[in-house]
Amino acid sequence: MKVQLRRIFEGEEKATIEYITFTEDIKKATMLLEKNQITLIGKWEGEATMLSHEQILYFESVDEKVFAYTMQKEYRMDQTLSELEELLEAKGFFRCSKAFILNIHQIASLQSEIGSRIDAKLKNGEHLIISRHYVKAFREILREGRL
Amino acid sequence: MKKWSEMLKTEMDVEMFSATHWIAIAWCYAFIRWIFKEDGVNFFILTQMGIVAYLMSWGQKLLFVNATLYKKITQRWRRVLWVCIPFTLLIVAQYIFHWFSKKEWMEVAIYDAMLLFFFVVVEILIHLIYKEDTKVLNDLLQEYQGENHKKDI
Repeated sequence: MKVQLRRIFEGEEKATIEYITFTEDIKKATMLLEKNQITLIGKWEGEATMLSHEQILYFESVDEKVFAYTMQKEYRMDQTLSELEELLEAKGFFRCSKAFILNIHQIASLQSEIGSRIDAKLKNGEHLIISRHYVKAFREILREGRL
Repeated sequence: MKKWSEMLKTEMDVEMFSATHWIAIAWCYAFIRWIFKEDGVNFFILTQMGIVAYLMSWGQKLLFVNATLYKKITQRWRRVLWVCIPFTLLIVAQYIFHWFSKKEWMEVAIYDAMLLFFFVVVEILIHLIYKEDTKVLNDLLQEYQGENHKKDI
């Protein structure tokens, strides 16, 4: 198999594998490349889309349906909020209230509020309140630098 | 049990602010009466002020109750509402309960101005009190994001 490497100075790093048959070697290479990345399937207007955990700002549960929000769109997810919390806990996702899971890497700034709450301003300009019940755990995560 | 404990904490927050509001509303009222050489403060008016202060405090609390309601409201708007809610309630209450007679427009103007000033000052003070904690939080956030970025590399 011919391997081509090209250095880029900006933009997202990506690897494209062209194959005729999906062999065991290609599967191993794919898994190796995706080692640090969790891919989720989200649905937008009935169409399934692959989502990298890094592009998700937060998950919201509305009437027992879970949605993932990215900078551009919102996607319906098949998993429950608890399942997503367990899956993405090690990737910097944090349950900030009953209905939300927040991606800490997508927080632009934090503001301490009355009643031990924290207002998290996200990179898309939206504000999410980290409720009092979850604030202690959030501070611990920031201090300990859990992934 | 946790739910009860949360409810109790919320109620304590509300009552702490309602006590502050009540003292301010009643004190300013008594002060205006004294300046304009009017009678003392009526017991019923004091009670009404207590109830209004409690409602003001709940109004301010509701701004923070549910995260879903406020995710698109900017920090600036919430700060403005935090002042406007109690001030609007104050105007409505003094009109409904006849805290001043129709002739006392000067007293009303000074009283409202004093309390508007009070709500603004309290809001600014709260913001200043939490400023240091906000700085600590943002430093920790930057550290967290930086550390994890290095790990990714």
